[in-house]
Amino acid sequence: MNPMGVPLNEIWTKWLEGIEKSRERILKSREVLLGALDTDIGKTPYEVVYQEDRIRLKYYRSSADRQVETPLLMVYALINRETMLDLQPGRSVVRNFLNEGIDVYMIDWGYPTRKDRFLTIDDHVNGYLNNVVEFIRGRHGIPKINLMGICMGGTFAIIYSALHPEKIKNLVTTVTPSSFDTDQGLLHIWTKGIDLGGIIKAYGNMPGDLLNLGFLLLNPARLVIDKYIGFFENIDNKDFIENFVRMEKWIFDSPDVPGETIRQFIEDCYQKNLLIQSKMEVGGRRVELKSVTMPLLNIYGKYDHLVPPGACDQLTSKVGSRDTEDVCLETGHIGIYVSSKYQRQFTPKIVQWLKQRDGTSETGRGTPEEAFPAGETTKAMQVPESRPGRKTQGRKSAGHRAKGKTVPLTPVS
Amino acid sequence: MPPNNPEGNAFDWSQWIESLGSFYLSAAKSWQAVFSALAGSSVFEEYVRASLSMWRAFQWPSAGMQDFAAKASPQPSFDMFQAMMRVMDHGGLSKDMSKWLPFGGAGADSGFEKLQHEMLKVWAEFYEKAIRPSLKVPQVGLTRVFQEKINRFTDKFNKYQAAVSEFQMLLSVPMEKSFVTMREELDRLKEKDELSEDHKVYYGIWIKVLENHYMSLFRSAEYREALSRLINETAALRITGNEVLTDLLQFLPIPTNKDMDEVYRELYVLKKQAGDAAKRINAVESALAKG
Repeated sequence: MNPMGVPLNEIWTKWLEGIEKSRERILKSREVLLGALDTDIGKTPYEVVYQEDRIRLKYYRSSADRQVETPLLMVYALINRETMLDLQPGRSVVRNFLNEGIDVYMIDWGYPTRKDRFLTIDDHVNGYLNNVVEFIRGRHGIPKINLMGICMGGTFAIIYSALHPEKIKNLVTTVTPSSFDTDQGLLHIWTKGIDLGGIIKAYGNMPGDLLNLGFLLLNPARLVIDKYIGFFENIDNKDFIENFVRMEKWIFDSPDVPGETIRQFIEDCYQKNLLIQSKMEVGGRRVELKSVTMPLLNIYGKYDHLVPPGACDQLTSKVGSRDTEDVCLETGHIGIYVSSKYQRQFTPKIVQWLKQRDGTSETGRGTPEEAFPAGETTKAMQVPESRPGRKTQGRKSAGHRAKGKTVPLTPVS
Repeated sequence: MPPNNPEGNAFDWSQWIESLGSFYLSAAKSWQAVFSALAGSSVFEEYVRASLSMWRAFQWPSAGMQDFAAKASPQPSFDMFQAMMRVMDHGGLSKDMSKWLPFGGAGADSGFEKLQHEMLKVWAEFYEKAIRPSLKVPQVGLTRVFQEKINRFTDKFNKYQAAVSEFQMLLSVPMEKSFVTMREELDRLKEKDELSEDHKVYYGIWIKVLENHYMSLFRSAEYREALSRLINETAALRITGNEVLTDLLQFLPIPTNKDMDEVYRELYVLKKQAGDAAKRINAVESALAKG
């Protein structure tokens, strides 16, 4: 026995045995790692039906019996990528919606470059998002669509719904920060004393890798050490490795965030907490939460370390709508979308909620094919591809005007 | 370096360490004299003394044994494993010594942590008072502007290094504390006779302890200030670095970020104006169509 009083010999022996097992595991892992691995993400087929600058609008068409006539537009955050909602067939929010008979549109914000550094929240909400909403309204011939926001995309969805309530039938916010004056999450604590002006001046945009480093520092014990210990312990397990690599692909696929947008988001939301007080201004207009009069479903995670419950649970009491519902799931920020357990609660809840509020009076002409029959769709939807020296044209349809261009309705993946 | 036996095939580790220790001790005293106005502490000196004591604890108990070991083997006479076993047999390191171990200090007040803090503080103050002013000496002549930019970059680089060191030091503290907590936890388990033979149990305890220590650190004002400093200094370094690079790039026939940013801003403003104009035209067209 040594001075610390610990039977080091026994621990040492067990440790050596563990090393021996690890050796066998590593030998087996060669077959797994060198073999064919299915690690692709975002595999559900879609069509790109609208493009403007760097953003694309993906259209996922449901082949099941239509349960909800009004199409659903999902708005992801500018941080990381929307592929998280379609990680793999068994864990795909998108696929679950399609199986439940809902047509889904999803914005792919793309990869901002230095050229995008001056884009503001106004440009994203009243510009790109509004153009996309106009496009979908026109495509389906409907006055209102269903809107679902994820995280920062949810904040954009709230702002949009407050500024354009006449275009949104139902609003679903998921793990969406709306009240930022909380000390439940480390992000809320850290961002209070941080001046992003220098970083934006230095880099133009907020580098995605820098953001990722910040996220890793939220819990280095788990995210930098324990996670990879788990990886090596399961290195001979093909399913585990495939899931792990898919998640790694998603986590470290981090576009930069346009500088002016992240600066405004941090200053107005995290530091001044203007949104929940209806004091935030976007595009010269005040974002009045009382203008959010459509039904609102607000879902968040009890153990969310990025957007804690305290940042989400005030929204329903501040909006103008009388039809609101809060749902707190006992999981974390990502678990809501990818955990097998919560996949069985999350999507069915939204589908049920939308179905109950999907009146037929405002559903227009249903699918794009019904809205623009007999070849009209293709003609109406397509805008010539932009070519050097030729300006991209806008288009008119169903009384709505959308900017940008539409690419042919052919599957991309 | 002199051999410690006639064959010359073994190295006299103890003599080398003793002389090295003396060197650092005298250096520490000199530094103390230089920085007495700045720091006024004997932590470094105490650290070197403890290190020497630690080395002596690892040595063979007698010179005779050392000679025997040197003659018996053509390899250097110091064997870390044997030395550790010997120290363990003699009851381990003393409390005074173990407090200087990076992962063996006594919790929040560990000597090593204090030493790290103090060295960073001393260096930061020394830099501010002794080096930084020299970088701000007014420059003259044809290259004045360039020299000022390079000095500014040098200054920001040093400030950045200081911020990084401070941040890294803070991040290392929970790791150190977790080992101390683990030792206490092992003692507690032993008292209860609940020691496990499975190292995974200890790993599980340790990772949880480490996580908790990190959470405490991340919520502290000290960490927030260090993080803020790191972000500011990173940005400042990048900005001043870009200034120097931009000057260099101007000799080449390629646009700089500064040039492109001006173009991007103009493009952004023009697109906004075009969008607004399109909206107004639409409104007019709609009104005409109705009218």
